[in-house]
Amino acid sequence: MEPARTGGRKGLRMHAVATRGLTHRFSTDTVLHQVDLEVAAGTIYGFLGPNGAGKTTTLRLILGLLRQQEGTIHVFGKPLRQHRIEILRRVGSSIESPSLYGHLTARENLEIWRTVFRCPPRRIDEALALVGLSGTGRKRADQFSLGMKQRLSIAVALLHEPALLVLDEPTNGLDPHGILEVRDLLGRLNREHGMTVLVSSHILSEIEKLVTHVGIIHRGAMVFQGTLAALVARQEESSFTAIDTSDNARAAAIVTAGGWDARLHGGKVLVRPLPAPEVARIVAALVAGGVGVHEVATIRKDLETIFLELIGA
Amino acid sequence: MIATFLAGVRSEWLKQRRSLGAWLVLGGGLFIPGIITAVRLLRPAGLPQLYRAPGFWERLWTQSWESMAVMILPLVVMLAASLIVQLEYRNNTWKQVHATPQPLATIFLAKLVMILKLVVQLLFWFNAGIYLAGIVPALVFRAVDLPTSPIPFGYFLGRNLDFFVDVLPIVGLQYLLALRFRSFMAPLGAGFALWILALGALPWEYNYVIPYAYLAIDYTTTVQSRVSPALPASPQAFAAAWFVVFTGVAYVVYAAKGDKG
Repeated sequence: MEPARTGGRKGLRMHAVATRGLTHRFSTDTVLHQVDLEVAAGTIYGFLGPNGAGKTTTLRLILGLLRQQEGTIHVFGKPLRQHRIEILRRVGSSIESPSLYGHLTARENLEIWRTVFRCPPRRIDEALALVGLSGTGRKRADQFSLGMKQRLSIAVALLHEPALLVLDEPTNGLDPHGILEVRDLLGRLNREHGMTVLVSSHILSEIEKLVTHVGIIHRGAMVFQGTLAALVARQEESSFTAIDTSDNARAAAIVTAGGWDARLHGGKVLVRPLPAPEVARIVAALVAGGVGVHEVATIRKDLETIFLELIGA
Repeated sequence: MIATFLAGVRSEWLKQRRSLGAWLVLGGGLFIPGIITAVRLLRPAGLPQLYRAPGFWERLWTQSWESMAVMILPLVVMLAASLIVQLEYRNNTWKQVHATPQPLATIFLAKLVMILKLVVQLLFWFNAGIYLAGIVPALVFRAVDLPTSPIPFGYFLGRNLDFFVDVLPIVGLQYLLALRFRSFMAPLGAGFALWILALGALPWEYNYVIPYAYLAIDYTTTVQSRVSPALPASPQAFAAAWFVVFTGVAYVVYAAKGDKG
């Protein structure tokens, strides 16, 4: 299979991750069904879905932690099955709960992975500084708070300066300030080092300020995939201004005659959300036409609502 | 390839810092010599003659190995093999290990090397303990001279090597069980059962087919010179063969696991 490509700022470029028809079963339970995930290189991809939707299973498959059953996985354009070692050299990951040796310090934990990835010793200090754990000294990892453990897990993941960072719910257990810090850190790694970030979450609002692309999975199937801008456009499409008048049928005719798109729905006249001066013009036209205006309300769905609608919640 | 393997072994070595396994082999190695030393310090009568007698070190060695070969060594090896693997289960780190660019064979062999390293450490501490058990009473009591008979280093080294090989089937099977079962108790339970079976079957003429029996067979037939049925091959040959089989199966079980964390 040819590696998938996508358009981007610099023309065609390879996907950092591309799955095709990824299907996975645990005994008879199908947890992933024909998942086509595409993470363009250099982007920050937010992988969203409620708990149990299949996010972690997908990420574990991408890292080779689960044996592939159906479908293909390409990372950096190469099939994972045949190039696992080569691929993992360029991937940093943190899946589910933090993976740390509790009897060792933060530095000792990093030393283990530094040895395996054979990166220079200075990376330990750099990684600790990046996640704000430079001052933990001789404190053992099992004495860390959950937030500190999460940050150390991220330090492990980025220790060898990977081209692709795969993080499963990295903000779990973090306080709002910690969430902000992780968001800033991932943004910085992406901007300054060109690192592709694939980050999962079950809360859109936590990552919507960070990601450039979004994939939404529900019950093992992708229900949306595209840029954040496309999701915002969908938000715009489903927002409207509702006008309630003394004669809605006549009001709809007046509004349409004035050049605006209007339709009758639920006993009200609906138009696309408009700037305030436009709304004033519509109201003036209605009053001039002898129609009493009872209520004008603009309903804007936030991204979280769109997300919840997509997953049918 | 070699660099990757060495890096894997070093990373496993680093994980063992201050781990329970390191303390276990220290305690296990010094336990019997510690008891012998304590008994000699508490009951010093007869020590002057004992320390002047020829073959002092051989007698001390035989006395120390009795409980070691039959009980401490198998038990500590069972625990050590389980602990090396449990370190990953307990810390939830298998997924991180398997997301590193290491071939599965490297991960598997690096852990096996660490178990064998713990066995060697155990034997080192045990031998050091025997030496201390020999000289400490002489340093404490004026009436007791330092043993004059020479330490038979060559013999001790050879027998240590024999016992090391004898214990390999336990290493292989416990490693296999520890990789197969997430529970800490499952491999230990199975190991205890096999160990008790091996001890119970010692009088049986075909006791050499039981993989956990070679330490006891070796000790009772060679060190204690008890009469034993003739074996078709040396205990070490049987032990080595079982080790190869168990290690091979362990790798297949490990590599075939669909869920790697």
